Amino acid sequence: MIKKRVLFEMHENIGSLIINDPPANKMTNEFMLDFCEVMRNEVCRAKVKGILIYGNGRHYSSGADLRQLRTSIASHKISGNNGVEMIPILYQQIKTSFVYLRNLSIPVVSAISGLCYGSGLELAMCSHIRVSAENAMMCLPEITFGVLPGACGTVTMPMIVGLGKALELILKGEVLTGTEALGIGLVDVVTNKNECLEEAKEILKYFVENVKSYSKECVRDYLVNYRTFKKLKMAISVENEKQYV
Amino acid sequence: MYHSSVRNNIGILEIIFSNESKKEEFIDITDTTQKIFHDIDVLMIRLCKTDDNLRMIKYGVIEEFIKFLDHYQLPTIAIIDGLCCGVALETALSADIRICSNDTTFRFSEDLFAESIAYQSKIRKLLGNKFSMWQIGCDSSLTAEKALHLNLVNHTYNKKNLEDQAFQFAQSLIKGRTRETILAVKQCLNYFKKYEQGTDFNILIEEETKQFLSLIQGAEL
Repeated sequence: MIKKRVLFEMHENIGSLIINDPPANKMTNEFMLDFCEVMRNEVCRAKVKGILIYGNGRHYSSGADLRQLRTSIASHKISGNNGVEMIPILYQQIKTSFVYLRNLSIPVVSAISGLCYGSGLELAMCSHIRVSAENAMMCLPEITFGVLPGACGTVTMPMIVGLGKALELILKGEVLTGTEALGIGLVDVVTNKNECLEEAKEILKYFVENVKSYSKECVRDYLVNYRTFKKLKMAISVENEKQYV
Repeated sequence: MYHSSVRNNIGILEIIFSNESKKEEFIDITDTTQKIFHDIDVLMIRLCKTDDNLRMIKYGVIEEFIKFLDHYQLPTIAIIDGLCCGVALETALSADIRICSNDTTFRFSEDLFAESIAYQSKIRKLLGNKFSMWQIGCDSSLTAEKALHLNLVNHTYNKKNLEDQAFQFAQSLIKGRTRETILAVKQCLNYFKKYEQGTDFNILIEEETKQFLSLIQGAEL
């Protein structure tokens, strides 16, 4: 049986996009082909009200295999007579898929645990909400290999953390923990490493059930409401427990 | 008045603002920067002033220099100490990265913020998602701590060590990086500065693709 490196599962109104190449969930060319196929044939056609992205196993994703990607780009590069170069299809498609997720008008939540490097972080940054484990590790290391983050990273990073922080993170290729990422606003919620996926599911469920006209520009307001909702829920359950005692 | 020097591929430009500052002076700074700093990798701008009350300098005096900074091909770091307002603030906001002393205060013009959409857009690009935490009116005066929390400044340091720390930071940004990659990253971020995030998203993505493809061919992987 052929292994699928990306899975799309639907449960109730929520679709789960799973990076399925453990342990590192590396974004190889095979992964990219599977990712584009799943996006084209399943995600685009699915009637879901929210999408959850996570990695199978300990890590979200350790990013692209740059060496493989370079070989692929070199072999597919076509230079036109007028000096215009064709962009390799695979690279173009993966970028289009990332942009597609970013532009969706339904909530897209990433649950980040373990490593979230390079293209993995770029995928997470195309999500509308990032929930991270406190000990998750995030970075854009492309610069250390002499390239730049080429899957929307130079666009989404400054949109999320602002120009100055983005330039520092891209040029230094520094690793941030989940807690540090929360401090600069790179992620929206930080949890214990065992609760990350569950919290992301809960947030998405809350959004799907309670936010009537969703706009990704307003996610931070929705999150404030979610936190109030969660506190109230907890207070009610404590009150109920007291009654039983 | 200004001083310029180069150390370890880092250009250092010290600008002293005074109420006597003239437009020609800033045009001269722009020309000098282009001539003297042709082989640097990062530009540090130390903002100094002779007087805290610099409101007499009109924006028109520094307009050309601000435009030059906004489109400069290399990363720029503003080093700020004490009160930062008026034209010094405008200059600091045009740099890519801001580093300040712990006792710095940023004083914004409420009128400018309320009236100018372009100015709001500029602040939004500097703060990212933290722009939603910016409270119009209440945040017309920001302490260094609050500015750090809002991502308006990258780091704050003790006044005594400010210059040394800023220099070390500049070195850490470019250490081991080729000039080609620094230029490519900065080019992408200059597009980010120039275009609107909503309507021009595809232009930003296209530029990133162009820069990525040009770099990956020669990368040592």
